[in-house]
Amino acid sequence: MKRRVAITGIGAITPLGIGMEKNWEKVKKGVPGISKIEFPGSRLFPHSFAGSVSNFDPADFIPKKKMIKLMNREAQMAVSAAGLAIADAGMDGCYSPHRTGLYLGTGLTSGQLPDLIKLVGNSIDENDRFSYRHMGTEALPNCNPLLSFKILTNMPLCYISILFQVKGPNMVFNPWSGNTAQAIGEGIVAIQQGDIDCAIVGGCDSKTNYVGFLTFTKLGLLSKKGKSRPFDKNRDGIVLSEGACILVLEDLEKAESRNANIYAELSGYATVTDPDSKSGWHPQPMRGPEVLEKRTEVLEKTMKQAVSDSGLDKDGIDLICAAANSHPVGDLVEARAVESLFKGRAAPPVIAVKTLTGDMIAAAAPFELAVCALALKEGILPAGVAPGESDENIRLRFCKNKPEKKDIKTALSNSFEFGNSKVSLTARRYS
Amino acid sequence: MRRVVVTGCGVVSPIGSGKKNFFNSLEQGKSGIDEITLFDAAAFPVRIAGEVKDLDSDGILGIYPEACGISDRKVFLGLSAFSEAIADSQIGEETLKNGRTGINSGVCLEVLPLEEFHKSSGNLKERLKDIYSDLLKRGTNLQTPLDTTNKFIIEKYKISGPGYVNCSACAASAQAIGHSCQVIKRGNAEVFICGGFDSMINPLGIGGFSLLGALSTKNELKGAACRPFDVRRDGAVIGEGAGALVIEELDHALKRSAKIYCEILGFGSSLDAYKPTDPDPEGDGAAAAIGMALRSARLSPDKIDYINAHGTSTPKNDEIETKAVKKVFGSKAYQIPVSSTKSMIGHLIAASGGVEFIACLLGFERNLIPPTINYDKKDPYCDLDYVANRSREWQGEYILSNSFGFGGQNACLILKRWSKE
Repeated sequence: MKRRVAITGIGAITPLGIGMEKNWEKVKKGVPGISKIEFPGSRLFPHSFAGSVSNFDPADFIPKKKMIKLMNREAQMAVSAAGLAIADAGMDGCYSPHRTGLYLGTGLTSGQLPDLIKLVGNSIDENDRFSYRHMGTEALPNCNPLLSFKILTNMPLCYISILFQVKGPNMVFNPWSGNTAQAIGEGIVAIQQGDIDCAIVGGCDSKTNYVGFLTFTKLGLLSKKGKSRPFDKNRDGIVLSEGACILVLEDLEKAESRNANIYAELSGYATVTDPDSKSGWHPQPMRGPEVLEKRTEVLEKTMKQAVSDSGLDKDGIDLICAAANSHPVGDLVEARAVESLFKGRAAPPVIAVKTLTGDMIAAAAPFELAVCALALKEGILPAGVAPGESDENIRLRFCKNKPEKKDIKTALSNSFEFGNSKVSLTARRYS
Repeated sequence: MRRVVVTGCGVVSPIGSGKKNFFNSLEQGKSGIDEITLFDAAAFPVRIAGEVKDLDSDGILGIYPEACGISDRKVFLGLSAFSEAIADSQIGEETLKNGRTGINSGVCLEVLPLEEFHKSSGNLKERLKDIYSDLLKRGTNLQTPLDTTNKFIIEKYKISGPGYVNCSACAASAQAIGHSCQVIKRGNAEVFICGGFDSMINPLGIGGFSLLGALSTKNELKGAACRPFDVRRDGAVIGEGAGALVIEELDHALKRSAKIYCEILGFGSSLDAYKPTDPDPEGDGAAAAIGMALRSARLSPDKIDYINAHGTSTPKNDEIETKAVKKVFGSKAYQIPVSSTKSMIGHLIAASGGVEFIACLLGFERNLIPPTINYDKKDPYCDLDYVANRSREWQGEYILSNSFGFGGQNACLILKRWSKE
């Protein structure tokens, strides 16, 4: 018999704000967090619209100043979000560190140029060429010896384990939203099987910088106008963003017995690999009708498996939190998969949180699941997280312009964006 | 309870690629460590590493033409080992694409090609500006996402079961293998292609790790520089390579009469939760992972017949690992042979767990356990039987393989000699 899993703590740091309360207020009312930002090199790009986390000072959350210096921005946000989530769950000392697991997703992490520039600058020889000799003699001896800490993709997990004394089973996945959703799923399964009592899960990412813009510009994935409008007729690409969202999951019975605040129950998890997906690293996704059909089938299969894993029927789904990130083809494929899943029946209303946040990539999945959890708990469909101008090829039902009271029992959250791994998770109202 | 067995393996290593070459070198106690040739390291504090010398890049490009233009070496190492493992397992094409086969690989970090930053002049700030516009103009690709290798394999073999990319540093491929077993055991897949690949032999990899003080600077010793458990050890030596397995649910393997290398009996994973820079000096995190692996295997500690150690040759790791082994095995620890294959191949970082798993198969395939080479002077704090310098005849049944990662992530696997009972 599978154990039941509850979400009891949420820590969110996103372009919408710091702390889940602020985030939920904005999601509910449909207030976007995208603006024109500045970073070294930003003026070289056609635009620099992005979802940027403002007023974030890691020192407000992390007591160890020395450790903050080791961290890249993703790690700073992840550790801070973990602190918020653990405080929110109010479970200090409830569980053995060895019975607490840690499952995270991190994004592309190549090091930021401002961190590397001194090293690079000192490696340039008399002829203005990069020289290994100069790197060895001039650059390395004058370099921050702890530089590697900012590049290692597993460090956010390590800092969280150290600062919050988590010692149990753990995994860290990379680099897309689907991979982070898998981390959440693995945490769910570990509790369901009784391997652990509690899991800290989530993800972090930051692409609001030169390397992020460079990479995604090269891929042709960015919106030319800097507008994130999933499912909208005029959608033309993603808006880069950043953030971290960490969730505390617990064995539901144990959470009940300590009278924890339960946001929602997590019940279903499915991960399917799309063998034809070219949407990740290829600027030109495959668009042929046959390929679109195959990709649609994969997404439909993923949602079906998650629904069946949760022990429900698809008709029991009251809300779909779409992965849609304003990508012309990706959104269409997801819409078709949802339409196909609910063929002949009214599909439940769909929300697309990336309208407000932009694409937080590896941090998107846990935040969108947190939005589902609050919608379930408060019985509210958020407003305006829907397209402005509808696309005639997309026949989904979206939310109204203002928050709507509604009896929502079950939500499905998709992570279908980049990469081959497609993941769906389901959440249930706790009562 | 579903059981998981290994039915295919592929390896690329500094002491030879392909299972047979690799086993031969292990048996002979060869070192694959030598001067770095992949870039000009003459002015670097660390100038030695374990390079793969027999990588057939053209052959790989023949099979995966899309990999053309990728500068990240580990992608090629991974493709080579994973392809070998799939071929070795003789698993059918239909099985690979039936939705019940998954892929799970351990990787570490993206390689930033520093060489791309060449056009610049003036002061630092002006240089930075130049670099920014130059990179943009040339459309330079600064990042190779860690799922690149998986993507090529997925698209070639049409794999549609669960696909994971584990980036848990030095514990990554051991975690990937252990995690794949869990997914098969819980019924979400029948087959997994799993393991890991890595190459840190690039300026930022070698430079960055040497700055951390983790690497041996005894460049003049070359092949003798990596000496795990020896009192003169002064740091790890970086190696590169890939180790891949095909693992299956037992009945699935029996039904198709597959060759079975061994059974994977247990997996444990833990966190030190100590310091970002150092392992827990008491070895509690490592001991917890070993303990969890034993519990998941339902095995009492006295059953373990050989330990393939993490054994990095850093002063701290080898002492702490010895302590952890004694914590778990008590006085029995002195009777268990413990060896570090890193003495021969170096530290393969994210690939180490995968390649060392295959090194363990030497025990079952040839009834030999690989030695710890370069072992000469005993450290009073490292007083176990380290299988010094020569491979040893061995008829044991159970093997423990340790991987303790940077940042305090630990992963341990337990292998069992194949028998149906």
